[in-house]
Amino acid sequence: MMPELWQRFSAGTQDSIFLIALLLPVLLLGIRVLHGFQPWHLVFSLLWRYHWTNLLLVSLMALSVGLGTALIAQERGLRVGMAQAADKFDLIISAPGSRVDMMLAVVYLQPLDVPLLDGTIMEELAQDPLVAMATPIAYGDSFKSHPLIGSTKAFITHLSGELTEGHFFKTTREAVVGSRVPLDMGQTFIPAHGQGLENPDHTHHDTEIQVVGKMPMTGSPWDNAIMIPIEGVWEMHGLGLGHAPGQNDHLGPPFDPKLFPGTPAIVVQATKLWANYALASKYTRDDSMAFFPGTVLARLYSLGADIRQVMSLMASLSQLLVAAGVISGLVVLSKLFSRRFALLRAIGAPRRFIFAVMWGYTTILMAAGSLAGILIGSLATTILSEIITRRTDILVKTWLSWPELHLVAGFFSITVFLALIPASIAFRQPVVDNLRAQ
Amino acid sequence: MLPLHISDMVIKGEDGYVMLAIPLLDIAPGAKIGVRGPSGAGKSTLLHLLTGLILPCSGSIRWGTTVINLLSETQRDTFRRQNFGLIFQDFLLFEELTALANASIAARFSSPALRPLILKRAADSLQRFGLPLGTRGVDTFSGGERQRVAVARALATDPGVIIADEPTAALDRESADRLLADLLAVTDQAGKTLIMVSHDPKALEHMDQIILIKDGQVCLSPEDMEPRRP
Repeated sequence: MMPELWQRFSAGTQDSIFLIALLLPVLLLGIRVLHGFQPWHLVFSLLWRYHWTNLLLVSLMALSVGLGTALIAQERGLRVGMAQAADKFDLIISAPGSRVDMMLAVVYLQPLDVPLLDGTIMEELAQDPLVAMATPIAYGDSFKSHPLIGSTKAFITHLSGELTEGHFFKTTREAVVGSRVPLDMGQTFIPAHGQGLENPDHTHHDTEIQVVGKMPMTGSPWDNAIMIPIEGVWEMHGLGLGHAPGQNDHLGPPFDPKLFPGTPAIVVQATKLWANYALASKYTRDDSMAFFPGTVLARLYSLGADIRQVMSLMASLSQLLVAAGVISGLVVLSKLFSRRFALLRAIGAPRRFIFAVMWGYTTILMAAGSLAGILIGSLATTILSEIITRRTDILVKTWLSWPELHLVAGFFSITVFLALIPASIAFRQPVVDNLRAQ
Repeated sequence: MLPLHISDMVIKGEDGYVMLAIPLLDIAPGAKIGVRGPSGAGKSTLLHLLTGLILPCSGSIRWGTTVINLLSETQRDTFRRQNFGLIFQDFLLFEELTALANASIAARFSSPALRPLILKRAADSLQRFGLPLGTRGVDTFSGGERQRVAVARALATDPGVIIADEPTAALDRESADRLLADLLAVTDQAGKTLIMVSHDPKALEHMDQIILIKDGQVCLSPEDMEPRRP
């Protein structure tokens, strides 16, 4: 009954209820401690009197909460970004080997040497009625740090939709570039063999390529890629064009299976969703392997799940450590209040009132620290997202969300109970001794 | 109004010496009692005993029908809140709060029914003493003004007994005189008991009776044996 009812709520409602449940102990404890009293004038008095110390304590809390939440938000953002980058790659077919390696190479453009698929399998896919699109992807060359990828017009359209500028390549010496490639329209360049700058002299001297089009941003490492017709890659390496003689002006499929020079991977899109599974099982065999990058990613994530939990735990623990430090500071600081508290007792305030003032004061500091922590966390998240996006080419767009709010709320709830410690110390202070002490 | 009756009261220090012994002491309601004696003789100890902040080793301190040293700590807090107004040498105000917030501080821990009364009395006293209720903290006030805020605080709960520990010691002569005038006027008018520790002869000369405390012993000093009546 209850689980069913719970399932009927929307995710947002569930998250809100959970947040309220996390904050409920604060409310109940607050009602219990403050009942019958109006301690806020005195809490304000303490806050104002020691405002620099209070500010320092709040900043410490805010920093630990902020960095903890930003870290967790960032991890999630990177995960979402990676999944989105893999979104366009339904099914990949390659020579048998490591799925993880192949996924890294094709989806995230982390190059590696693999055996090539030959023309028969390309032909088979081209004839397969379940296949909507099958594009060979060839890589290995680069210009500066930008990988040069051989593919087809259909694939680029699939990846990014219409071009933002220019037109698709019409010859093997024309390129369409990703949104983050710093090459202008009409500019020419000479690609190098391999990737990176290790061996800049080793260029394909005779091959000058001109930029004729620009892709819109995709939020994936492909924004950093230079796309040329796959025939161009073959041609640069002296492998022919993959088409029957007389058809050399033609770019893209169909290819001639006998003249097909080979490709490390083929990206496949099925006609129907279910057909993906049929294709995956059909092309997983001795001479080829077919896999869903999404599934590989999910398996990697589930491996990382333990690490994520450890990370959350570490973030929470370090926040609690800081909170414990702040509370210890408050215990010391409360010595400074002891004369004021003694005065209140002398003029008839019950001990519970002193308890309420000290608890209220500590709670306000914790609340301020948590709220400021959320602000710092948001700011840090924005900055970290940009840094990670630049470093990995994976678009990380993330904000503090429910998991972080839950974390902060749970943290705040615990600190509010920790706040009972300085309160009970203040509660036990002797009156007459402290009344005399200067 | 509460008469005070102390009998066979002894309080000892940690190492067993007698800090203060009072075989018998009666104070009538509405009396103005001065307490004097050398430093460390036990004057403050007497005030703490009278208000139940410390307990005697033996004997009884009875206010009306209540033996204060037989009450629990919580009951003594309540008794203090309801019956005593305390004034200290160094004011002990909350410097950041306004005059009204200080004078009405007891409203923050008294029962909700009393809160408006306490606030009103605090405001009335402050106005009577010519002090601004104000938006500024009392840290901008002079010593005399601060002590008058403290008096307003002591009066805000309308206690039967005002207990003052060297209220004029931190003030210049002019401020001290003004404070005494204000304090005596309100206690006279409402018939409150005033028990005031002081070294100030000008303050003591307004008292009905002077108690001298010396080496933990209480005696009524000869020149003040006869209660002074105006």
